[in-house]
Amino acid sequence: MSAQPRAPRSSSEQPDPMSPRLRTDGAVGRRWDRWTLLGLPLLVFLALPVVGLLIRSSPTALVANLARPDVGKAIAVSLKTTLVSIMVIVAFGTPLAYMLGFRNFKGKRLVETLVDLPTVLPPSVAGVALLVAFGRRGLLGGALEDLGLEIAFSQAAVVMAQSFVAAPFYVRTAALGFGAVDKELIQAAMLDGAGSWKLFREVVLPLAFPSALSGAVMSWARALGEFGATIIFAGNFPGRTQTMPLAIYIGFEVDLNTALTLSVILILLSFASLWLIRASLGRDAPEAQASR
Amino acid sequence: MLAQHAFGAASRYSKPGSYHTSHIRLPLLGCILISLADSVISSLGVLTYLECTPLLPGLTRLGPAGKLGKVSRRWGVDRGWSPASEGTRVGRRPFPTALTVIWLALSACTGLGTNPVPVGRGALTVFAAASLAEPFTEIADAFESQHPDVDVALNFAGSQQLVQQIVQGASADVFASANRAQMDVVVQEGRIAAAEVQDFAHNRLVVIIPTDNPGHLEDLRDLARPDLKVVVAAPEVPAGAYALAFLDLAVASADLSPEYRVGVLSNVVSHEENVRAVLSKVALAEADAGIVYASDAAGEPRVRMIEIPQSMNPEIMYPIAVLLDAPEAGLALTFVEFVRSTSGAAILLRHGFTPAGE
Repeated sequence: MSAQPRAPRSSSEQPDPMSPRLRTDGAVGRRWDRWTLLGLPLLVFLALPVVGLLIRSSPTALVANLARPDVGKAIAVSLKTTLVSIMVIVAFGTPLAYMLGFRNFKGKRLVETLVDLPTVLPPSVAGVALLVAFGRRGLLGGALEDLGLEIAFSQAAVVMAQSFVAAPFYVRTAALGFGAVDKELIQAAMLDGAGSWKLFREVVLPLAFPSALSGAVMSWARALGEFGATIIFAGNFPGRTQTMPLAIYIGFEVDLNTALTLSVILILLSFASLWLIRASLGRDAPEAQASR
Repeated sequence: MLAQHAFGAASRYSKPGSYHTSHIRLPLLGCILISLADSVISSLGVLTYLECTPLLPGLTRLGPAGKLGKVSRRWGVDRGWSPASEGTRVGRRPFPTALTVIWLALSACTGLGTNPVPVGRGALTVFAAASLAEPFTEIADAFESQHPDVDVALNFAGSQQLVQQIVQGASADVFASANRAQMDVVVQEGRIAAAEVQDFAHNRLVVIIPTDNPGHLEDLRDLARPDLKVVVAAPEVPAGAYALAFLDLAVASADLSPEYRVGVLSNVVSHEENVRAVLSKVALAEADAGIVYASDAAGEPRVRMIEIPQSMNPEIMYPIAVLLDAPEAGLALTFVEFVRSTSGAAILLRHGFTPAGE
């Protein structure tokens, strides 16, 4: 899409003050129009459980629960595994995203669908699939065992489960960011003698950095919330493989306080990370949209 | 970004003129929406149950008498719509009709949400613990073939979930629980008379290993050998609590040393969220051993059992009872008697349970 000449685009960015479009914007901007009303039920539905959770847990109880060893362990395991996961995802996802962003090849659609697949799979399916591939009796199980690697029930399994489920969020967003870099700029850089690495490092990456960053944060938030694949592939052992979502689930039946505390922490962390994306990219987004 | 692209294209085609053509339908739509919102708000009474009362004043203000109501009246004015020019619509007053429709739709929805209420003659609703799924399906079939005019509806879930459903008013005739504690909750809630409760089966714990035995376990003693991968149910789950009880009994017995408990627990690599997950992990040979109910192991060809002696096996009783407000009380009693009869016992035995009489 960026191959189009730039002239018409810049003219559409500066709308004629007399064009009817402005008035449409005004109508949509009114405080209580029909769209607000139609949108309200879903908004209330989405917000209410979060608000309820926050109301239900008092700050003092929250702090008191934070000091409990099982809660602390779950938070530590979650932070450690998700940080490793996001490093793995960025390290291996960037080349894939770069390839998908620039190259056109036969079967690209297949590759893209494959990359997207984990986002629509139920995480429990992902867990079973990982078990079948990397478990002791799995496809690679024998080979891994010969190498002395036992993945099941280890933190490596937690990282794999998280990476499997969360990687598409990074790869897709980064690939779109790479693909949106102006082709003329790339051609200009190549004419100036930039090599493949230099092109990536000094032209493409700085331009696509907001997309890559937002993809990484989204991916991290998804890894933080990972439950189904983890409990199936990595099991549940406090201090080793029990992440926050697992502790919430196990705690729910017996000890609602643990579940509530961890839920609130998860919500705050997720909200903060999504907010971060919005804040850092929010101002760019409308321009990006207008330029499509 | 593709989505943004598409959206951008769409908004380019939508002219301000087309935005106005549908405004006549708006009042009706608004009424439907408001009545829907009203129903939603009234259903928020659930919030009081969740102790979220601080939230309610803010929400009720959104009701028809509050902001939404005013806004809907203002709409017409904003859009240049006046009652005089659209007299017929005002006279029709779609509000009550819409309200009725929504009300009916919502009632239908809530009807779907709860458990099936027996419809017609001879429909029996049985709530049974998830571990009873296989024997009770078979028992229900046998019961139906003896009573051709009876339809048995089975609802399987974790005993705790079933108790929650019953306590919250679900209609049921018979409740079969996986332990006494859950049954006692229902008794305390006044839905079952304590005298009605009777044990119909016991279960026992067994150690299971994959058929090819990657951990080379021969007997119970081997479970404490270092470098084994053992999975158990989480201590929060009944099966996990029983597994811990087994270790306590084992240590108390003369056969096994006090270090046995420590040894087994240090081999535990995962506290699974339910007992069937323990079975799956061992069946897939991801773990070297696990502790499950004999009834779970009975149906799984990929695992072998190592028996736990009776002296170390915690008592696991399955109680059954007819609910006090059972819609089909007579039929329910017949069903309970059938479960406890020799034919019921034979089915239970086949699925790894020990019938209560034996």
